[in-house]
Amino acid sequence: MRRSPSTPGAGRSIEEAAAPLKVLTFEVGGYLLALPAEDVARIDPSGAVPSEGVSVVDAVGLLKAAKEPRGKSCTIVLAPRRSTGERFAVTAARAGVVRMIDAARLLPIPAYLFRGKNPFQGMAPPAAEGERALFVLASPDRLLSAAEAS
Amino acid sequence: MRVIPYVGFRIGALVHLAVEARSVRAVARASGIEPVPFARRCVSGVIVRDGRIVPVFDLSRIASIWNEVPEGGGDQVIVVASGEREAGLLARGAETFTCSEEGESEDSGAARPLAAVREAILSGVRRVRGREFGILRVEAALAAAEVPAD
Repeated sequence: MRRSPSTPGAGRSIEEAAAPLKVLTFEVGGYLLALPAEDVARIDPSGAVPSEGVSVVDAVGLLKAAKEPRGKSCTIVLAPRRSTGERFAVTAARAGVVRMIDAARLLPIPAYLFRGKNPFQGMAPPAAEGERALFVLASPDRLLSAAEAS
Repeated sequence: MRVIPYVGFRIGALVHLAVEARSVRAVARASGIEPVPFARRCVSGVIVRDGRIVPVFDLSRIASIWNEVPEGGGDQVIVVASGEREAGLLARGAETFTCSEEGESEDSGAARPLAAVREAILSGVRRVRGREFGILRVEAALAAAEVPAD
């Protein structure tokens, strides 16, 4: 299994680490999460049957987001992993927007805060009062590990 | 006789704990805590200090340190340090006091709220202004929260 960097910039050149990161934001359980846009294959509406062989991480269920409005919930299907061909999808209460973030703003989250693997590349703190922190997910297998352990 | 400054605080309504002031880096508002998805139950979230993420723990959710688990929550974060490690403790009613090194409490025969705390995380007890403060061993509290050693 390919090991993903546990800190922003780890395993990447200085130029890459400093480059803006294009992400798709989504909401679940009141949290604002994001996935690297290049990892997203498509967004399926709620109720769509997942393709065969796709491991679905039910973030909506795990983060106790059942009371969130269901009308706009969706499943974010990720592109097959280049190294293993594995396919993952993540449920979300609401898909957000594609936006650029400054990778240098991502602060690493200590791995010991999680029972399983640390699912995040890092957290971008709120830029202004009233904004939410943005949690950028790392590889889907780490999210699956964290989800299974939680 | 050496006089030691302490920062006292409350866990729940009744349990008064204190740490030596030299171990305290800051007292912050709990409103600044960012909850972290998929984190362990004892993790209230994180705060950002000097561009670094500091985890915040709710000690009431670490069963191994209690004989009787107190009410949790709090509106303050006591940021403590042990070596290179920094962590926040969710608390209420932070206050400062000084006490002599030999200021062990006398048994007043009154109710002993500190009986709720396992002795392993305390280095002693001080009686101040009619209240008993258990002196928290920061090292032991962080170990109970599974914060890795330096």
